[in-house]
Amino acid sequence: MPNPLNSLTLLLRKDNTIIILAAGILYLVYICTCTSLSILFINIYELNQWQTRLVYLPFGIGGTVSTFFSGQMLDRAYRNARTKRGLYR
Amino acid sequence: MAAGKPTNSSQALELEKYSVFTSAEKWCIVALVSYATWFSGLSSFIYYPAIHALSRSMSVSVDKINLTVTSYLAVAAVAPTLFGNFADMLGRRPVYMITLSLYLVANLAIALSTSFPVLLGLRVLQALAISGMHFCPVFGPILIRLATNSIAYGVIADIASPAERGSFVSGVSFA
Repeated sequence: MPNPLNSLTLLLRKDNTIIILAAGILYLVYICTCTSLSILFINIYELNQWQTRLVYLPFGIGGTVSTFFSGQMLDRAYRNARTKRGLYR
Repeated sequence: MAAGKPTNSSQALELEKYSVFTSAEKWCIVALVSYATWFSGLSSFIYYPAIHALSRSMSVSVDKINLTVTSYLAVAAVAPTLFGNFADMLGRRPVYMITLSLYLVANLAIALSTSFPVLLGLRVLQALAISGMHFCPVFGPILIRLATNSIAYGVIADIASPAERGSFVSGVSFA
């Protein structure tokens, strides 16, 4: 039977907890912003239904563009860390 | 699997193959997995522009519709812990088939729903179905092989050696 508490043991390591907290807070702010955006834009700027959908496009475009760069940077950072410590594979 | 003497460390790395998939096959797998994972982000974000229209058609205040957003997120935070375990037990493919079928049913029901409590319950079901594949940034570095990952990360950990995982992870983050 699957035990969901198994994955909570990840939090016992301090470096995991820090990364999880940071990413979680970022995600929280992102979600809260997105939720209130459409209602606020309708109330304050009087956009119609069609135009509020365009408000969310810049988020998506930025995310897509970032994937092109982040892959190379991740590989390079991993390779640097690996050679600095003399570990291979 | 190593044949001959490696002259330096990068050749040693290539001679021990991490996976039998060729590079093109790995990218096809990553494309499939990220396409499935894309629906997770999609179903949470496609909801936001519709909040106003929903509050008018169901005659409830916007605060109550925000409750459906909260219910989605609450379940989406917990479901990957369950489905990660399922994926390790049953294998990746059965879990994908089950969750995607459940997601289809939940979406159809939400599109046809006319009352607010039904919408609330069905959002929970939708989150439960799709969040197993959610690209979950809360699940720590993927170099920890013992951790139960959400399925997309798990597939990448299966097929890619640590040296090339970075590119694949950024491919999945398209979702």
